[in-house]
Amino acid sequence: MAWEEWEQLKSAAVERHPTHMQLNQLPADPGGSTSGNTAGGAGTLKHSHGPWTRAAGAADDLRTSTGNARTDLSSAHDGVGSGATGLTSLGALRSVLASWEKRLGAVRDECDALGPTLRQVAQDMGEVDVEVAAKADSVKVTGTGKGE
Amino acid sequence: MASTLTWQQLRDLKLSELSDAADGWGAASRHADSAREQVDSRMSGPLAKTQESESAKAAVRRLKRLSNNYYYIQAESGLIRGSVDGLATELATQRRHLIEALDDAASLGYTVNENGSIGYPAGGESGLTGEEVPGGTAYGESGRFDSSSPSPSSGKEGLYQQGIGDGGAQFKSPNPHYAKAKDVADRLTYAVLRAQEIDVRYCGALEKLKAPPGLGVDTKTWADVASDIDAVDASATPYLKDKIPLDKSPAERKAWWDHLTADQREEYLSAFPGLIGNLDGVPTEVRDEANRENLKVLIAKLEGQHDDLSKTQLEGLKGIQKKLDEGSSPPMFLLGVGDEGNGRAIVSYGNPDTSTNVSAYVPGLGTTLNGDFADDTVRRALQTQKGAYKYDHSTASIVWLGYDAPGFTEVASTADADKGAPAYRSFIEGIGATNQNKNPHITAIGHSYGSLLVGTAAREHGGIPGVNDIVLLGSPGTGAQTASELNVGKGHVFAASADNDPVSWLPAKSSLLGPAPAIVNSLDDERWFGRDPTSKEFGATRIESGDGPLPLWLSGDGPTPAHSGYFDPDRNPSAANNIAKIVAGRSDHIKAEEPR
Repeated sequence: MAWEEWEQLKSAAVERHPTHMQLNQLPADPGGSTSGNTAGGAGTLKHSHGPWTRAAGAADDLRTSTGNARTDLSSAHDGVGSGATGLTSLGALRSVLASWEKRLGAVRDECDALGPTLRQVAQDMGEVDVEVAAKADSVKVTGTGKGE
Repeated sequence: MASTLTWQQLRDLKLSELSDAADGWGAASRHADSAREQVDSRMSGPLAKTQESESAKAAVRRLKRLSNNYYYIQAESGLIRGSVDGLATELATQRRHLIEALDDAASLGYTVNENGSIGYPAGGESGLTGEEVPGGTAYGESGRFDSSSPSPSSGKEGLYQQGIGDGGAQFKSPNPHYAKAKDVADRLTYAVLRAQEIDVRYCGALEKLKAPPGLGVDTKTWADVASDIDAVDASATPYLKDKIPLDKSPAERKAWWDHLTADQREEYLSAFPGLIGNLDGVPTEVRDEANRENLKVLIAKLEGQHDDLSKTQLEGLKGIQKKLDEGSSPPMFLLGVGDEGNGRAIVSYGNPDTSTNVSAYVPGLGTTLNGDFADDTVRRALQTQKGAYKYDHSTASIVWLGYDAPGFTEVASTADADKGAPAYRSFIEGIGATNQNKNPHITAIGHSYGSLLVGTAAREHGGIPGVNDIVLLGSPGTGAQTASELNVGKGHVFAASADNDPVSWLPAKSSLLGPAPAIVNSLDDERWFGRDPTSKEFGATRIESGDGPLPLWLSGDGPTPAHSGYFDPDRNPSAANNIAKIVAGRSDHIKAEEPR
């Protein structure tokens, strides 16, 4: 997926924001819910421990470990230049290494970009997971009288 | 591409540096493996489960690409590791030969010249003059080695260099140093030429293992992985032969595998998955792991090919993939997969290493790796397992398509059975080697033409290794005249033929050549490939079988429903139940019927 596409989807998510805001505002809704929600407000929703936030954390870890893997791979070849002088394969190995250093670098950068992006989505969406959203939905349904 | 490696360079190689590089690729492969797991378990998994929004789906797609990248890195790093290790190991052998030659030269007091020729001192006595024969220079076979030198095997050109010193006269030199110097020079030259060949061979493999730029991973990527696996296998053949006991028995391979370190196992598995996945004697779970990866890349490879055979095989492999994805009870194990010939697939229901009872069914006429195979033929193994399970839970049932079966339209010869029999024997021997029970009970089942293959394998000296019972279904003959030729002992050969199965009535080939109508001859007991195994004279136990449905033109249920119904508890309950009892080791409870 192209970066632009991702950005588009992200802004689409942001555009849906009002819905989520509504969910967040539910406790204050005059719809008359007397549940415990009134006390907690938005704070009862799982802001910081949802899957988006955790995925962002995993992306950070992978950025670091992939960067390290790349560095380790490069340094594993430190002695090859002097140890394998004269081999035609040495040239091939070097270009193989260079190509994978690039690939590992691209993967590391992807993780690097994914971390903040996932975190942003987490924030935009109020990190409401399906379970919590469903609960909120059921409250909203009674409040607005939509029925089943 | 040529190698310009000189003897000095070969001498000065520090191969531990190459081994370090290989280890680096091993570490990269391991990291990518665990990174992929993290993406799946900590990222895409939870998001796919708990989020239904577009952004979640988009994120999961992007994470899938990340996961694929890690898989790609894991697979290719494994291949690179294997290549670099192969290069280092093979070069080490040649370097050792070179060092030995150089040591000999030194201890004899000879000089090793810049160009690899060996200078030797005066010695001996000239028969003509009585004086000491002067020293000289000995050249190795192929003379001065350089990139244009022919290899020693390509001919004797350049055995002696033109226009140098005493030339050919040296051949019969009375100087005793000459022969020794020549020997040293030959060995030196040979080591360098071999090293050059190794260098070129691995260089070719490595060239293929570069990563394309960017993050893209698509079907072409996996197709490349498939061809890279082949390329590394091919380039590393001498290394493989040296490291992996390919020419040993399955039991010896099992012992070899058991003694490997975890690190070595991982290297072989990641560098040579095609080989390990199909190597008899390697434990089932390892083969299964390798073959699930092999299956993925094979599918990708075939997706890029558009000939009919590839399309057919692709259908079969995708069908197997689907079954693996769906999961089953008992679990499936993929013991073999490949695209050689018409295609290969060996599928087990239940683990044949842990089960007491193991059956291995060889399918017959018209079987090929296609959608029908993945669907119907594989199901027969499941039916066998489920049937036998009723009598003994510890049962694994295998369908073995390790050969090219003849098609319905061909006039079948014994050639395919002859070719397949050794592979089947090896496979069964492998099952015996990896089975963890003291006395596993192994049943060989041959259906249709598969019964000829089983018969051919069983007639070999000693029979099929470890097989206790043989079941012949819808057989056009086994190549044997009596059951005793099948080497399992009296009362352990069972045969069934449904009366509506036309294949079991195939008359002897000779009768087709004669003037008499085939139908008349089919009343005797000579079948296409020898005596009807359900005949009295053959001496097998004929197990009860339903007549099976009538052929197509009468029943409309496939061309030969009776021929394909033996395993099916619905279509032929008596035969299926008898097979189940035999496989479960309860052959004393079968229902027999009168021979034909």
